[in-house]
Amino acid sequence: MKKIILIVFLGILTIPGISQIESAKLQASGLTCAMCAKAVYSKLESLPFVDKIDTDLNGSAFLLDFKQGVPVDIDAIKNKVEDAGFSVAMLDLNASFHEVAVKKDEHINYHGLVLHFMGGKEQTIHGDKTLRVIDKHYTTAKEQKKFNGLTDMECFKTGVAAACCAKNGKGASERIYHVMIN
Amino acid sequence: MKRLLIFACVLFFGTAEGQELYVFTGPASNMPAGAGGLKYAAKLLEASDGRTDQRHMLEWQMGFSKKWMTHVSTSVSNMYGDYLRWESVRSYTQYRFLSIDDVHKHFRAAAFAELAYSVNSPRYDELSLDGDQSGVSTGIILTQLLHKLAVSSTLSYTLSLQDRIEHMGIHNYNYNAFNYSLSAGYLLFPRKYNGYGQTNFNLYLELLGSRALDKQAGFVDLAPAVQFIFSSSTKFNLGYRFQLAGDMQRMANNSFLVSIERTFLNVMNRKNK
Repeated sequence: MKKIILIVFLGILTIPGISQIESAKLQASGLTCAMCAKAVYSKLESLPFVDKIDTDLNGSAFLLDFKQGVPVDIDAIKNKVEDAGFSVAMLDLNASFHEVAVKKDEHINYHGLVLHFMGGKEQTIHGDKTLRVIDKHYTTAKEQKKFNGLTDMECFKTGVAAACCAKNGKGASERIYHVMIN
Repeated sequence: MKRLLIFACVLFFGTAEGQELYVFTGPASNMPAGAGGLKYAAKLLEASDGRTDQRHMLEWQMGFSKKWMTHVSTSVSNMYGDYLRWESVRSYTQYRFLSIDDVHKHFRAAAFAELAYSVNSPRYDELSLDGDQSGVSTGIILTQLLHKLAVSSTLSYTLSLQDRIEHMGIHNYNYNAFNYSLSAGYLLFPRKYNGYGQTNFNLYLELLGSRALDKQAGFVDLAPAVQFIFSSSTKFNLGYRFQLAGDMQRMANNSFLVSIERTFLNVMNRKNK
């Protein structure tokens, strides 16, 4: 019986595409009141991969726990905040890694997502890490200016593989999320 | 008492931060996409013969997208007759075309258009599409939120589309007007949030003006108001509006407004994307 449980458990861990982004901290911008925050909460709650949300009303921040095994759609989170009438000021993803080599301007496939690491040194990451999404519309306009000089690659401007990264088996319209390790 | 209230409002606004869910006007921000809202409002004023005139309005609000919302409303009143009777329908639509957000801040701009049909025969220079007259109106709203303080301005043009009747042999009613407002709102309580269930208390002070474009007449009103928001979804508003200066022929120079409004999030089905 123990063996069966162990096999099932290991099987779950190794299913390709299973979400390893466990949680996220999102700060919304453009609001101060609880009524506005409730609109954001209600939108985020409708996402199929969101398990639980804790709200920090004073900081306009939302702590999202994701469901195990359900792929996380990062753009859907941003779209929900915008549907509520507001914007994303910051999105930090908490994800676990197992000996993943990353370097500046390198793309890695991470459980169905293409991540582009920006600004950091060449390293092998292991264990729980916090990744800040720094794409356009994921930071305030003021913050975004700081990130613009980090790369010359076109994908940072477009958010998709497009001309600069469509090679290596990626389609031109493939979404690339630009992240920094916190 | 009136002066004391104004002083209190100015004092609070002067110290800092507020809200933009104005009682007499609206902000450039829209309701959430997919949300609905139901509003009941009553306007009460003392008529020239000393009786209390009243108007009751019911409005349904829809947020079709993050940038576009529409309101439809209908009203009954005894302002143009001896008894309460149905008098008008109105449609209002707003499109937010600019949104610059920062943490606890935003600057937004929206354009709106309004169309109203009323069975009333206008007797006054003041143009109002809230049940008094048939007409169209269009304008822009600019809103700045800075922490707990929100300041907003609305600039609009209103055109009456109604056949005029002569009153006392004089045919001098106003056909179109330029309207302007400057509103400030302040979130007074809670000072610190600890949940969606906390009752919020907002203070408002609005300056509401109108200038006739086809005759020499205008007014400027001041309108203090208070607002309670229960469970982050139901607003209760109480406001008083009085004329500061003006030479326009109006139904009344002052009035009370009481309204209650409930927002229903996610009433329209949208894909979870």
